[in-house]
Amino acid sequence: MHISEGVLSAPVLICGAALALGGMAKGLRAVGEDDIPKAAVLAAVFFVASLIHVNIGPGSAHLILSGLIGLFLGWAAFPVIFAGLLLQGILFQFGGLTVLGVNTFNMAFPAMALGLLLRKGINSQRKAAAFAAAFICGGGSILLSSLLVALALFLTGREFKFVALEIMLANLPIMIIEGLMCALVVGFLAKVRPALLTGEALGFEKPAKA
Amino acid sequence: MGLSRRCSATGIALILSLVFFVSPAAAHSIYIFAFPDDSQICTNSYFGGKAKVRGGQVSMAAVSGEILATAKTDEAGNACFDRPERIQDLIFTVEASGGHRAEFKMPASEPAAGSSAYDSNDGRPAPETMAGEQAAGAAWPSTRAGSLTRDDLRQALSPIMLKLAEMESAQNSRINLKDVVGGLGWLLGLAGVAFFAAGRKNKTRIKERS
Repeated sequence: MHISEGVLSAPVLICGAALALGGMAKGLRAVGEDDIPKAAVLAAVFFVASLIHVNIGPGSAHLILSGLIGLFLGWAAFPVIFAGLLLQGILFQFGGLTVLGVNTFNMAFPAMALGLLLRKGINSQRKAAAFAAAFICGGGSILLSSLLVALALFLTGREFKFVALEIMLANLPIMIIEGLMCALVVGFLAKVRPALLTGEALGFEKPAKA
Repeated sequence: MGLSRRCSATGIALILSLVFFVSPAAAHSIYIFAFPDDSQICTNSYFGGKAKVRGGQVSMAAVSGEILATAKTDEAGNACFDRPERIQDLIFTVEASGGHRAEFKMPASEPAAGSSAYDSNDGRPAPETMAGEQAAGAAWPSTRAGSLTRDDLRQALSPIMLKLAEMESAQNSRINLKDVVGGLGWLLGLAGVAFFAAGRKNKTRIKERS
């Protein structure tokens, strides 16, 4: 999912950086004091999860867990994913610094959009509905991120249909794994810490006044 | 409180298990290395999880950027090129699915080491002669050296050159546990900075109210 240095054209890099900056600005404003520990733990999970590889067919895919981040942090997924990608770029040479904006946007935007869209779903009293919402958020984020990667490559001059198909096929097992992981984490939290899944904690309900 | 501790412990256990699940050699991104092989220069490309790059586009270019030849990687991730006529620094680039790209620079001295380091009539090494040839930008000659031909030596050295290149590449692509822990430390520090900023904001608010 990390696009390497030297692959994308300058206009695509600039557009990606501008979009990521916009998302970061909005995301930093969205991080409340209570969200800091949650954001730090999810940033650590994102940073480490990307090191786990699954060799599939002609390629190699790895965990991202962006859906989980989007679900719990919404817009704050932007700064969290940016921090993780920056450290991965510096310490492990994953992706690169010039493509940081594009990679941040590709991973954070779908996570944020699906997270905001499906937050109410994981808050559902029906277990099946909560599981489905979390699964769709986890897997769907990877699907949309794959499409954004393909779009970035297409805008640089590659054939969209071929590239999109190739990337989606390579990431198909990861979509399923991430969907399941997201659903399992939500199911686990519903059992041990339901307070984290309330509308107030997820940010779609205003805190009740004392 | 007990529940909160259990949640924190689970979170820490998840991060730690992710850290230790990562094998030392696992890494994201794509890698390429080149080695002299008989009369050719071969490259081997692989992903971080050690999966070979199949069908990846490899190009051999001069430092000036001029593409000298291109080839596709086979099932084992190999792509071979005929040696260029002039001895020069070479840059090998591999592009694979999903916007992955990597480069490997082979100095002019390396292909020479596998081909014409032994260039005297009695079969002993003659580095001075080679240095002269390189400086003049001459082609690799193929003269008979006593009972031992250059081709014999080239063939005998090929597996050693491959092993050395593999070892060097593995060393460069290995993820250091220190870097992983260091990255987590950075994230912890960033969380601290965020808390500091939130604390200052709160102080200002309290002052304004009073």
